Amino acid sequence: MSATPVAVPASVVVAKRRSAAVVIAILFGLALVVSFATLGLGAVKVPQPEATKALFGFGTVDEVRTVRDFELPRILIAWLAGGSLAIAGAVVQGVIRNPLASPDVIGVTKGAGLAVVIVLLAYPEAAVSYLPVAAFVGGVAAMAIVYVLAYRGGTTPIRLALVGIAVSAMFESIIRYVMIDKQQAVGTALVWLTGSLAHVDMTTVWEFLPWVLVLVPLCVVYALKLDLLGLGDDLASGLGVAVERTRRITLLIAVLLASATVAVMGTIAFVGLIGPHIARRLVGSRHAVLLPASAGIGALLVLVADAIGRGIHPPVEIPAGMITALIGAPYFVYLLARSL
Amino acid sequence: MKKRIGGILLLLGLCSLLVVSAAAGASAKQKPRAKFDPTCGPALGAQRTVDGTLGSVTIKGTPKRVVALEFSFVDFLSQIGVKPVGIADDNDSKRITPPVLRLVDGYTSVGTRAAPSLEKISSLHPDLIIADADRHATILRQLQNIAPTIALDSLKQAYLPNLHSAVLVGRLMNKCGAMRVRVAQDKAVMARMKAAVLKATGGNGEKREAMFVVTTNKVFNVHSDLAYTPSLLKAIGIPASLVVKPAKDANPYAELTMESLLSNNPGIMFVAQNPPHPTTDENFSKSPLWNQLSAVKDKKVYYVNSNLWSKSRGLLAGEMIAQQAVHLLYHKFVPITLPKVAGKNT
Amino acid sequence: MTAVLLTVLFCVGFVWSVSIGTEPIGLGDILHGIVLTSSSTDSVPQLVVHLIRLPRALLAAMVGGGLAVAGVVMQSITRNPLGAPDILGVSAGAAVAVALASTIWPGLAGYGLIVLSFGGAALAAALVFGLARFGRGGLSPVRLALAGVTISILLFSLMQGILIVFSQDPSLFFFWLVGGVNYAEWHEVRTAAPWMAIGFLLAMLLAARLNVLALGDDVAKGLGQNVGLTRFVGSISVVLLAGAAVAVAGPVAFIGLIAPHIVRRLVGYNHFVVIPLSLLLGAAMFVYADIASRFLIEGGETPSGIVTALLGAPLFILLARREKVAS
Repeated sequence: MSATPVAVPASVVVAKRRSAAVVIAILFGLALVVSFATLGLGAVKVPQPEATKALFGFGTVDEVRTVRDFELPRILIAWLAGGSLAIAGAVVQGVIRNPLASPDVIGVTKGAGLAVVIVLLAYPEAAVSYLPVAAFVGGVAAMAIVYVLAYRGGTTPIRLALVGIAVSAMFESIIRYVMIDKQQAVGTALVWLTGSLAHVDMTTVWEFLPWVLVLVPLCVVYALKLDLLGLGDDLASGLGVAVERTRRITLLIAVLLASATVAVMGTIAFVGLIGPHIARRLVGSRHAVLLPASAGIGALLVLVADAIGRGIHPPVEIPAGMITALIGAPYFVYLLARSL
Repeated sequence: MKKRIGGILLLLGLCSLLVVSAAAGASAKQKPRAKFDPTCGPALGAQRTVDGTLGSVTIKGTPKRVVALEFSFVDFLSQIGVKPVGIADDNDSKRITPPVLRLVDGYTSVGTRAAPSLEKISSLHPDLIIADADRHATILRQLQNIAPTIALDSLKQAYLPNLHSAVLVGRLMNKCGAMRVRVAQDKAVMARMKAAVLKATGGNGEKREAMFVVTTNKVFNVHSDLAYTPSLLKAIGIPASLVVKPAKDANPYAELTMESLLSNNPGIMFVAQNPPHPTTDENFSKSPLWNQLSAVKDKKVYYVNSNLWSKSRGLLAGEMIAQQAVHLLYHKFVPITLPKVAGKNT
Repeated sequence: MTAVLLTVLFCVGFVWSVSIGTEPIGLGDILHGIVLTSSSTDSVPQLVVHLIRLPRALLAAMVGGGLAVAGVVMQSITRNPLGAPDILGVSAGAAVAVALASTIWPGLAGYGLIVLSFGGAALAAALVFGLARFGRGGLSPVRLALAGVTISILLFSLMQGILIVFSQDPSLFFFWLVGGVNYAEWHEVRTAAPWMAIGFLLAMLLAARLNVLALGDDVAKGLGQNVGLTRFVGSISVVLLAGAAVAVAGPVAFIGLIAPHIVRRLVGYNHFVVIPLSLLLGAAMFVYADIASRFLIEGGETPSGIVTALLGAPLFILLARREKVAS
């Protein structure tokens, strides 16, 4: 999982870089194809090529409205949030140095979810635009709690992971208690918690875009530092990287990114875990290629999950989070089969 | 140096994001709950503003294409002769009370009440959307982008506030007069039901308390007098066995075990079963303690339709619930006047 | 000495649980109710004690004790201090299997459900181990914990999603999310008892082997133990105990994690002592939690599992913080 510094001939390195670039290009291309293929899929079906034409404003009023106002935002958010979540997952795995870590399991997602549930259930008259702020605050607060609790003269990846699991469990318990205490409005909160893009519109896209534009490049910047971190604390220290500080900041950025995606689409399981997992097997562990590849896979996952969710039994909206869970199960069975 | 710049950039980015979010939040409207206004309000037909739970909506003329996202609103609309073009019916038209369904048949389903399909709603070109203040608070903005939207209470309402919602719907549809007539009819029907109860109990009134409970295989959910059905029964003279102190955040439901059921010991039980079976009440009934309940001893346990009794909360639905209760308890059939479509505004 | 204390703790809790409820019942009636052999008596309070409170207290004890023993065995065979049925995904697997089965095949009888519960538990355990072993690095406790949590989240998301889409009533799955013994009857006690007894027996039979295993795989193998067999039988014991517990009471959290730790702190590491005492402590813990759940929300019941969830979580955090866990 960590990048091993081995002396390789320059030609091999270049070839590796190029093949990684090819893989990434294929991933994004695939995501584009899926985007267009599912553009008209939903409660109101618009077949291709009318759907693509509608995207540019040609076609009946219904077609244009459906594609532009409802399908397009969902696809854009799938790209932006799915990709961001996968990137955040890759970063978290890099810091904790464990391929099984993800924002889901170390408490961030649950913290954001708890904050949103509290606002949704306890203050239903509060403006809906407070929800993203709540999710953001919840995620960051969760990470702060995890960090403080894991700090004993410094943190180790192991302690971060374990405390993260424990804090996540605590938030989950509180979420369940709040839901039981306020049973009346449970339905909406539950749909939200499972993760869904059903309520997304262009305003959501514009609200989310700044987060992506600010945080993703920061992630990339720190990706190089993460590669150094992967060499082990002593070696990295020797190379002049203030290990603890970098770990802290990198984790913070990932947490901010993950919290923002929770604010937008609820808690969608596994994108932050499976995305980097698969990406690592395709392009290796260097973050410069791992992050874009993860983003591509994350986007693909959410695109497919959302398309299935809205297209399989219209007008019923099956939450995308349930589909990703359904996808996750066979993937883990596959891993099990391979490891036997 | 690079780190400092990175840190400053990060901080700037965060600040701007927070400012943007706060601005978005500040621009959201928050209206206080409207007080009940029994009149039809100012000028009809022309522009009118109706106050809902989460803000008001301004409408000109008469809406022709309405989308209703809760069963109670469907009921109200059907009673003033309006056929909504779209209904959130949980993908199951059987959930709508049959007489109401007959009046609104031909609608298009827009999905579940918890998560209706926005694009389906949009494709119906509505000019008014009536949403539930509890369930749809989070998609209010999206709905308002499609058509003027009003959010009314339904989920947590008791019987009398529910009539208020009916009046609001009448004003929305520019059929305020017709709705007032219908609500007056409803009150007359309930008065007849109450008289029947009084007569059947020899003028003394019903002294036994009635419990309304919704069950599944793991749940025994009793509705208290703060909830719709028990408050309706209370209005026709059948007291509720589970009484909860009214408070802003009071939970109108309570889970009871066999033991707490025994100590509550209602004289009458109306049980609405939901799958999966075997339901908790079926399990309770196998216990010898079940026979200790007053309701069981007096043979006053009735199994009622869950869709009507726990999900509908409408004018006609309420009358049907009252009618069924009176019939079950006293074997008296009190007829309900089925609605005539009143076209005039008075 | 500790054994005596724990026994007293348990008995007090048990009697307390049987004595309280919505109606005050006198001590005489309580005692009569406990020893009642048939339901032939007319006395309602005695019937209440015998038919409602007694099975509830018994089930709470069984479930708590069973989960605690399952925790001991799991922690020993995985050499992971954070081993517990709820953390390593076993509870989630069982809960999802039973929740879906009872929603989709409503007529399924008690025994059918238990078998499905075992299947779900075993499958989840296999998934967790498979996930943790994948890739470089050994089967470290951290990887196991992460894998367990991941699989739990996966399974619960699945269950939540399916219940949202297909079920009429969203409050149904509070039970399957947090668990509880609020509606316990003799039927559930009878269904779970034989399996839990077998599971406990298996655990005790393994006690000696587990003591040796704790010294390290190499040492154990050197002393002639078949560690694979030990782990296998141990897993069966866990599946039986946790599967039966979850089938009747849902996925109760944290008892399987915390009870063994407390017991080990008090009496050391000898499994012959740790296993029975964990049984006692786990039983006591859940009995008290069930008592507390009757007072959490005024006028109604809360699922008993919510108490263990709320109280156990901070303890879990303390454990995670403190453990010197090798990578």
